[in-house]
Amino acid sequence: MDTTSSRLNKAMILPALLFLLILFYFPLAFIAGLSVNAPNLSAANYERFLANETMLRVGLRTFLYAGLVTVTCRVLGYPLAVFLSRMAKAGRSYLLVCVILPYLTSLLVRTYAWMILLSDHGLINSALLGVGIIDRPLPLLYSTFGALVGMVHLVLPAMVLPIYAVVHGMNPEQMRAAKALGGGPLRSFLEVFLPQTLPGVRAGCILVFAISLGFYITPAALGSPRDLMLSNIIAKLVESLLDFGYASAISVILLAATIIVYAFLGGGLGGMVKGGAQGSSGGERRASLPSRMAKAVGNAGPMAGLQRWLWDRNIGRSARHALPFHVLWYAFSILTLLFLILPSVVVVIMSFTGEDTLGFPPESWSLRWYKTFFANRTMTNAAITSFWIAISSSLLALFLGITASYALVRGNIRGSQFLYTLILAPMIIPSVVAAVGIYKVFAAWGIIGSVPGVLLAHTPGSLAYVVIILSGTFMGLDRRLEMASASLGASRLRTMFRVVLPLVAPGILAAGIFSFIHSFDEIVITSFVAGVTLQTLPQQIWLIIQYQIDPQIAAVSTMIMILPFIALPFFRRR
Amino acid sequence: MKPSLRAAALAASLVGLSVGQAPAQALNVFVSGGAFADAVIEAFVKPFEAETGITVNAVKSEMPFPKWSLAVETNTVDFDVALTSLGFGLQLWQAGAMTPIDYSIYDAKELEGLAPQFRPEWGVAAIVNGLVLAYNTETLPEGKRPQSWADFWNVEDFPGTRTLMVPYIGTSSLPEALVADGVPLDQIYPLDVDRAFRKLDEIKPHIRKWWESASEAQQMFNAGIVDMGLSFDGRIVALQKAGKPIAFTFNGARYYASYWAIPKGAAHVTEAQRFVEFATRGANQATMTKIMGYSPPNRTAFEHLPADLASSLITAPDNIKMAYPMDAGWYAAVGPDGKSNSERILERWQEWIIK
Repeated sequence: MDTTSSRLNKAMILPALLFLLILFYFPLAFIAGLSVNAPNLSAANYERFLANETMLRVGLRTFLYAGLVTVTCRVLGYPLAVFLSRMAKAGRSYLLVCVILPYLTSLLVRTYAWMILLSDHGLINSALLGVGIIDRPLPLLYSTFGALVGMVHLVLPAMVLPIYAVVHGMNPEQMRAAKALGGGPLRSFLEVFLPQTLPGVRAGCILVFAISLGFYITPAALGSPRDLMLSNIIAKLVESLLDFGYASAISVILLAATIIVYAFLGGGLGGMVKGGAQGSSGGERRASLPSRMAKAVGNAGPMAGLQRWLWDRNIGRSARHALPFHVLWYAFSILTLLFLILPSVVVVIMSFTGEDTLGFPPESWSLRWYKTFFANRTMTNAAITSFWIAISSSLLALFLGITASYALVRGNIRGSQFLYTLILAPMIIPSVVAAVGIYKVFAAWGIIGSVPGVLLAHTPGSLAYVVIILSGTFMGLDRRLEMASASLGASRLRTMFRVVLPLVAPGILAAGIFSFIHSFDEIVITSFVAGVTLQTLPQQIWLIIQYQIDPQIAAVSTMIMILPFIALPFFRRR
Repeated sequence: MKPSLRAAALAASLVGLSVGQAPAQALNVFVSGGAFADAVIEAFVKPFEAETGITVNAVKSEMPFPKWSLAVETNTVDFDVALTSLGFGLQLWQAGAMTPIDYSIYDAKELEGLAPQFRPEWGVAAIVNGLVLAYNTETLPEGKRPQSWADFWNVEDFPGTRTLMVPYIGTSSLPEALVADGVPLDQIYPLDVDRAFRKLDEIKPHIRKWWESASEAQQMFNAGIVDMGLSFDGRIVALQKAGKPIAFTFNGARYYASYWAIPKGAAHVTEAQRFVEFATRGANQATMTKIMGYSPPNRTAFEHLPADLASSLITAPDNIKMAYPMDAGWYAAVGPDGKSNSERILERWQEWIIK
C-alpha cells in the first residue's frame, strides 16, 4: 500500500467524526456541563448517584438484563442467521423481512400484542391449559420472564442481520475444501466457519447490548414491578422533575460503564477493530488452524465459549449422523422465526376488526380502520413526512457510515478503538437526555421545527447502527480481492464501486434497514425538535394510543409491515 | 432518473415540507392527540374561528413538559396555547415560564362557575380527571365488587387481580392507601408518607401491575387482564361506550384538572387569552363533555347537559361530595433539603418497589 492511499483510508473517517462533533458532541457538552453544575463545578450529582444504593442496584440490574438479552439473542440468532444464508435465494429475502418484522411493528401495538399473548387468559396460557400441560396459568405477563421475552423479541433482528451479512459474503468453497481435506463437520465448523463469522457475531452482540441498555418502555410494560431500568429512572427525572443535571450525570455514568464493559468483555471493541488490522496484514486468518481458533474464541470471550459448548453438545452426539443435526438446526431456526413473527401476526389479525377497540380475536371483521387511516389527513401527511425524513437520514447515515467503517477497518488508524466508541455513544446516551442538549443547540441555530432539523437529530443514532454493522461486514471481507483488483490496474474508486461495495451489499442493506427504522420510529428527540408545523407518524400513533385503544394503529402497523413484502420483487428484478 | 436529479427532487420535496404549512399569523394551539384532539377541534377550535375570525393552527401533538421550559429558556417559543397538567403547570409557573391569565375579559357568571382551584393565575381548567376505583362486572360477581378503597385492600373478601399506579407526574397511589386506612377525605393532604407506605406494604404482594400511563390502565381493563384497580374515569367511560363490562365508583375518588395555559413569550398573547376564555365557557365545555364524556370544570356547563350524562361526571354535585381534590401544591413544595415532595416520593418509591 502506498502512503497516499493509506492516508486516504484514514481520512475517510473525517466526515463522520465532523458530523458527530457538531451534531452530537456539541449538544452533549451542554449535558456534561449540566451534570457537573457548570459553571460552579461540583460533583454533587455524581456523589448522589454513587451514595444511593437503589440507583446502584438498578444500574447493576440494567447491565445484567442487557447481558442476558445479548446471550439469549446470540443463542437464538446465530443458528437462524446461518439457516437463512443457506436458503434458496427466492424465499430468503421474504424470510429476511420476517426477521425484521418486530422492528416494523409500532412499539405500543407490539406491547399490546404481547399482553394478549402472555396474559393469564392469553393465547399461550390458554393453549397450555387446553393441552393439559399446566393446571393454572403461568405468570408470564408482568414478570421478569415477560420483560425478557419482549426485549429479546425486539433486538433479535439486530443480532441476526449483522451475522447474516458476514455469512452471506463468505466463500462456501472453503467449507467444502475443509471437508474434502478430511475435517469432520464439527472440525470444519469450528476451525473454518465459526472464526470467519466472528466479526458479524461481535457486531451483533455490541449492537444488541447497546440497545438493551436503553430499554425502558418494554420492561416497564411487560415486566414485574421490580424490573426497573436505569433509562426509566433517567426519563422520569427529565420528564416529571426537570432534573436535567442528575439525569445527565447518570447518563454519563451509563456511558462510561458501557465503555468499561465493552473493553472488559473479551476484546469487545478492541478485538473488533484490532481484528480488522490483523486481517489487513495478510490473508493468514483464512488458513485457520486450531491455535487461531482458540485465539478467536478467546477474543470473543464468553459468548463464543457458550456457542462452542452448544456445538459440542449438539454435534458431538450427532456428528456421525449429519441429517438429524441439520433437522434439529432447521427446526430450531423455524421456531425462532415463529417467535419473531408471532406478535406481528396478532397485530395483523386485530387490524381487521369491526369493533371499536383492539381485541383478540376480533368479534367482527371489516376494513374500517384502514379507511379511517386514509381518511385522516393528519395521519397520511405525518406518514409521508416520516418517510422522507427516514430516507434522507438513513442515506446520510449510510454515506457517513460506509466511509467511516472502511476507515476504521482498513485505515490502520491509531486509537481506532476510541473512535469506534465515539461513534457508538449516541446509542448509549438515553434519548431524552440527548434531546435536551440537542434542543438547546438547535434553538440557537434556529432549526427547531424544520425537516432538516429533525433528520439531522435522527442521524447520529442511525450512524451508530451503520458503523457497527458495516465494520463487521468489512472485516469479514477478504482483503486480497481489493489487492487483486488494484494489481489488475483498477483505480481506487473503481475498486471501491466494482469490488468492495457489491461484496458488502448485504451489510449495507442491513445497515440501511436499521438506520431507516431508527429514524422512522424515533419519537423522543422528535417530540422536542419538531415544532408547530411538523408531525411524524410515530408521534401521531403514540398520541392516538394515549387516548383510545384504537385499531387504526394496528392497521397502520400492518401496512408498514406489508410494504417491504410488496417492494421486494422490484428490488430483486435489478 | 439520474442520481443527481433524484437528489435534487428529494431536496425539493424536503423544502416543500418544511415551509408554508400553517399561516404565519395563525394562533398555534397544541390540542393533544387522538380522539381527544378531534373533540377539542370540534368543541373549541372551529366555533372559536367562526366567532372571532382568528385562524387557529390546531397542532395535533402534546407539549412535553421539559420542552416547554426549554423553549422559554432559549427564547424559541413557537406556540401560543397548550394543555398542561396541574403538577407541571405549577412547576412552570414557579419557574416563570407562563403568561398570567387575563381574568378581566371573563364574564362574571362564567368566572363564578369556576371553582378557585380551577382558575389559578397561570391557567384555566379544561377538563377534570377523576382517579376512580374501577372493576370488571363480568369476572366479579355481585357482592364481590369493591365499592371503597377499604374493600380494595380487603383481599380476603374481594379476590381478584389488582392494579394501582406508580408515582408519576406528581401523583401516586399514596392517597388511596390513606383513604383505605381510614383518613377522612379532607385530611388526606399533607400526605402522611410513612403511614401511606406502611399501608402499601399490605397490598404490595397483591398488585399485579403498577401502571405508568392512563392508556396502560385502559388496555388492562380492556383486555380483561385485571379485575379491579385505579383508573381514570374518562377511560372507563370510553370502555363502557365500547360495550366492555367495566364499572366504577366515585367513592374515595381523587380529582384534578388539566389546564389551558399560555407560555411566556407567546407571539399572540391577546388572541391566546381570548381562546382560553372561549374554551372555558360553560356552554363550550358542555359540547366537549358531550363528545368525550370528560367532566367539565365550569359548573355552568351543567345547564347545557342532559341529566343522565351529568350524573356520570365527577364534577356533578352529588359525585364530587364523595371525592377529594389532589393538592398539587403539596407535591411541588420544596423542603429544606432542596427536594420537592414529588422527588422524595419518587426516590422512596424506587427503593421500596425493588425490594
